[in-house]
Amino acid sequence: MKRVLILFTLFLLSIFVAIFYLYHKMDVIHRKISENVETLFINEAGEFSRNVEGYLKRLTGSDYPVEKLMRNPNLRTLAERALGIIITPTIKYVYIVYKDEDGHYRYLVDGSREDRGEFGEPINVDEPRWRASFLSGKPTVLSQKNLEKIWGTYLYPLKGKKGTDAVVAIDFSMNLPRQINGASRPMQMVFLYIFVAIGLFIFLLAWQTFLLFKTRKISMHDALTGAYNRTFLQDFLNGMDPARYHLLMIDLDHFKQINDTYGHKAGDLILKGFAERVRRLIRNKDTLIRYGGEEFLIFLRRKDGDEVPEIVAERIRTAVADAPFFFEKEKIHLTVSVGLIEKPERYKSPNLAVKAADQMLYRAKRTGRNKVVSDREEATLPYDQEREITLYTVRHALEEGRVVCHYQPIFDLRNGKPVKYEALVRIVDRERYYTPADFLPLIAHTTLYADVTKRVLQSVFNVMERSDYAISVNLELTDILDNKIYDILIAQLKKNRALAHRLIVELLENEPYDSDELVRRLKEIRQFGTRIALDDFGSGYANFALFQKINIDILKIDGSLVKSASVDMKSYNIVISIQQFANRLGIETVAEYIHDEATLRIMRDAGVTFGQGHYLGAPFPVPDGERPFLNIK
Amino acid sequence: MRLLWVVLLPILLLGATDRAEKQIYESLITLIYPQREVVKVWSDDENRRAFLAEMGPRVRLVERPQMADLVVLRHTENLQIDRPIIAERYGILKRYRERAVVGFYWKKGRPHLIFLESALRHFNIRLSDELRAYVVKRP
Repeated sequence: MKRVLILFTLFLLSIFVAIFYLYHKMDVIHRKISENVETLFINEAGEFSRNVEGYLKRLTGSDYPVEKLMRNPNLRTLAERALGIIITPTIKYVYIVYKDEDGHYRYLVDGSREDRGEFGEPINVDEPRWRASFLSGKPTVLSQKNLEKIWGTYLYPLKGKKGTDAVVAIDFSMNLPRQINGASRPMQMVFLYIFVAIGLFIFLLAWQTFLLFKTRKISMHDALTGAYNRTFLQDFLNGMDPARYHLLMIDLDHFKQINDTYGHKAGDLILKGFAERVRRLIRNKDTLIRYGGEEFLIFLRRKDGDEVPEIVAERIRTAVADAPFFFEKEKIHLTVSVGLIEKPERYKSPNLAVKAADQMLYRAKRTGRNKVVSDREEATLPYDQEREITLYTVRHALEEGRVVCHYQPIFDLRNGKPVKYEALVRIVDRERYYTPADFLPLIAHTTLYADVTKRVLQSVFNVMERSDYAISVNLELTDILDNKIYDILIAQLKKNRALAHRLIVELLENEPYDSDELVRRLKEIRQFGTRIALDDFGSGYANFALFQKINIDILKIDGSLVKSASVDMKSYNIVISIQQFANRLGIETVAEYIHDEATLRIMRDAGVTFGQGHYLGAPFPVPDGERPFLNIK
Repeated sequence: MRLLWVVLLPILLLGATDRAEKQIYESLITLIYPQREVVKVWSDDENRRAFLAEMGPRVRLVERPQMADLVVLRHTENLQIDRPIIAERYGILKRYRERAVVGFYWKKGRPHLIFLESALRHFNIRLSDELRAYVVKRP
């Protein structure tokens, strides 16, 4: 489109130039014709003058006819008649002028039909030029012209014994330029109109382009923050070279709480203030985009010698964390989480780089917020494009029934028997599996998340129908507070009331929640006989208040503690402490990530009730129609 | 002479003939009566009378030549009056050579300005050096 516009503009400009050239050329031709005609008439006047001189010599019988003409009125009369013959519409006056004793010019003979001068009558002339003609003794042309006509006087000296005695003056005047002008004028006017029309068109085009850019500018900026918006982002991503940027995705932590507590006015003020702070910390060549509600993208221009992007990201993080925002004299402390993609060109497309930044941001939020998470470590490895998954892939997998669960056995460490299973969601795609880490961040804020949850619960209850084992599913605390997810869970529990007591809901504490609504909903879930487990206990937000308000049935000790318990005394002691805490409250425990015999022994000796991990048994699929878990030992 | 061509002709040709003529007449009146605040003028031409009537307070048009300080003639050839005359034809200039101070008329598309030395002397009129070039001894 841009190229077409440029070509069209060039085309118009070339027409504009061509018309201007033709207009100018016509003017030149017009002028040249006038000059040629003028020359023609001057030559003609010269010829006449020579004839007059010859005639006068013959008439007076003297080579110096002026003397005799001065003395003889009859000769003057004859001469005047002869000169009158020359008069034409072009040659208006023919006369002979002499200089008197005082240097004044006077008529000697006048052959003109109008305005005839008498013998001796003074005549006002352009004295210096006439004098020059007298002195030089050479013919002189005094001519003038304009668009309408050419006029002038041809002076032909008549020589006497002592220089010039008189001059033959022929006044010519013609309106040929007007005639030429009259003939060419319509064409010139046509060119002029075309010229003006194209000029106007180009002006309008330029004006429209200006308006277009102005409108585009408005349409591509977020009115609240002044940052670019997603419309701009789409255009930007289409035309950008990822190798010239670092990419930051920033999210304001707990922004929803600010809106809930102080109102949207405060929220807007903070968004605006945040954007202003960021603008002060980045350069003009960097690009700030409001990606979503409280999510921002920054494309930092890359150049050798520039600051590493982590420093910029960290500076933004601290600028927000260190200085509170103010709303009606109220201090509002805020933090941001930042996902950083150092080399966006490693991704298949800029869009995927943005998604990757979103994933880094997601990790930053999962691991405690107020931090910068970079893909630097991963960036050193060749990017595995095969692992990329899109919303379309997930939706398609749901439609085709390729969202399935794999089940990992959980063993009773006291007798080594499998007692329950953990359902782990997978997407099957071309004989490979996508794990939740591959696609949950992608769909976390989409309706697909609820669809996948529903599919998992349906799948789990289906398997439970065919077995006697308990099965646990993973949810986040925020999922319980999400009306849609919660409704799906309750609906499935009601639908499978007889099986509900074998369902274990493993909750992941990603955020500190102390909500009465959460407690109420967990209690309602437990009324179905469903047990509640806390996942990854020992990391994240260990909210002991939750234990006061609801009965937790199972604690799943965080995998990182379990994995390192055999080599790190602190981890081991934490595991022991968690076990003692669980014993006190009568809560069963599960050790995840048991990856070797040593870890298994330690967990068993620590009194951990259950255990799971690849050493004990990897997750596996359950084919439809089969009675599952028969071969697990 | 050069003054006439350089100054007068362009002014006249530029279409401001009427205004330019007024300026020339004002100049001529000032030349003839430099000290007089009101100059009484008579002309034998209706058009010129209308023209002079619009020249402002300094020029007062009179009904008879005898009442005038200055006479502008185009047609009359036998006026017996001893007043400075501005001749608007060469014939008039020649006819009143003792009293026609100046001839101002057009011929062959050229403005003609001719002062007669005898008339200037008769009325004791002095010209600037620039205008001396237009003075002739005989018409």
